[in-house]
Amino acid sequence: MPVLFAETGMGNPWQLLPLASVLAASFGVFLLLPNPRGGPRLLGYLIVLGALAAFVASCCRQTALSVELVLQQVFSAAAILGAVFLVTQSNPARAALSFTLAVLGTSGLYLTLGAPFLAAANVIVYAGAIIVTFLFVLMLAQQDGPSDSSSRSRDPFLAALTGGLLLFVIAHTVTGDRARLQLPALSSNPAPVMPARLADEAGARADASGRLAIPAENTAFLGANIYRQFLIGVEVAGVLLVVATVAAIVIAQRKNPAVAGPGVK
Amino acid sequence: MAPPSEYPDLSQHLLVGAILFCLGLVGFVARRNLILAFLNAELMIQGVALNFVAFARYRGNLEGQSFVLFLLTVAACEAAIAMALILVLYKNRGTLDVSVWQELREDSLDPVVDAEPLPLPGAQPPMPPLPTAGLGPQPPEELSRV
Repeated sequence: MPVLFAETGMGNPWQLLPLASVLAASFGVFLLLPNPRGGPRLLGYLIVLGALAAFVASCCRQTALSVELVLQQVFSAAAILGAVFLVTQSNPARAALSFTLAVLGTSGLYLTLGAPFLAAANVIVYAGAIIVTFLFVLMLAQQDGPSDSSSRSRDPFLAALTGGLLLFVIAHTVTGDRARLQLPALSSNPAPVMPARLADEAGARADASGRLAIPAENTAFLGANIYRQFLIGVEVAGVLLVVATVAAIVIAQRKNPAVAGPGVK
Repeated sequence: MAPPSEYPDLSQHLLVGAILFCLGLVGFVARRNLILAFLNAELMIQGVALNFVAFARYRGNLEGQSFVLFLLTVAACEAAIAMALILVLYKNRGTLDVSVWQELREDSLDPVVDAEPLPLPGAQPPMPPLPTAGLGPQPPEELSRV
């Protein structure tokens, strides 16, 4: 036990800040989860956002201010805000729109990570197709006023505590001192590139110094990569899409046998 | 404290992914709306995909981004089938609440009983005041008569 405490730095009271802030954030989420009694919503939001900010500040390495850093913080804040609203909004339509905010924040993070094609695909697939489908079903099934499905939560305290503890364990693993020693900063690594042979065949441009133009060629590289290395995976994904389409049609058209009379297929 | 570096490091992206994943987990366990449960599952997938893209940037190759493409495909299939299943469930019971399906639980578990009454629906917001339409001002009577 003493060895464990020495490893986690529990000897220094100031180093308890990440755990304390995660627990505070869990308590805030517990306050915010919908319940029939209502609750202090504003206080809950203040606790969650303040605790998450303190948590991120206590876990992150000190970095010099740059445009990339500012963009990354803004997109991260949008993604986390959208996620908090998605979990805590009792109105399902508002929660679905908050999910769009989270998707847009994640797509912005993809952009800062040199993945413009994935950012566009993410916005089109998630913020476009999936959210519209979910909103259609919500429109079909929406009922006015408080209901069992939207105004109640299942074991909110245990759920929030579980999520908080899982977050603390993951964060301690990826931001602890040992992880920092093993994971140098991103600036020491090149942006995603293809091997030179594949880059030639994909018709990728290179600048005067021979460095490949990234991330403008990201789509070409990504296409070359998946059709060379993962061709069978692409075929299987196509089959999966067809099967899912047929299955969705079959399932949605199935009549309730208790309602449908005999002879109705 | 490590010396300042020029770019944000990998662990910050992993941290954001972990926060998204854990918030999605909390929502998936706690929310009782079927549609919101699936949206929270999609949020967990977003957190995982962010990890993949961050590692692709960190390793300097495209394997992570390729995997996210397949992840998007599977997530789209999952959403389509989930939508069809939710429609069937809603047609059967007339509500999106997951607790109406609790006869599917294990034998050893106690049924969930909602003790607290639902709050009364709030007052509807007042309609905006609009001027009465269709009634124009009366024209003055013509003075000249023939």
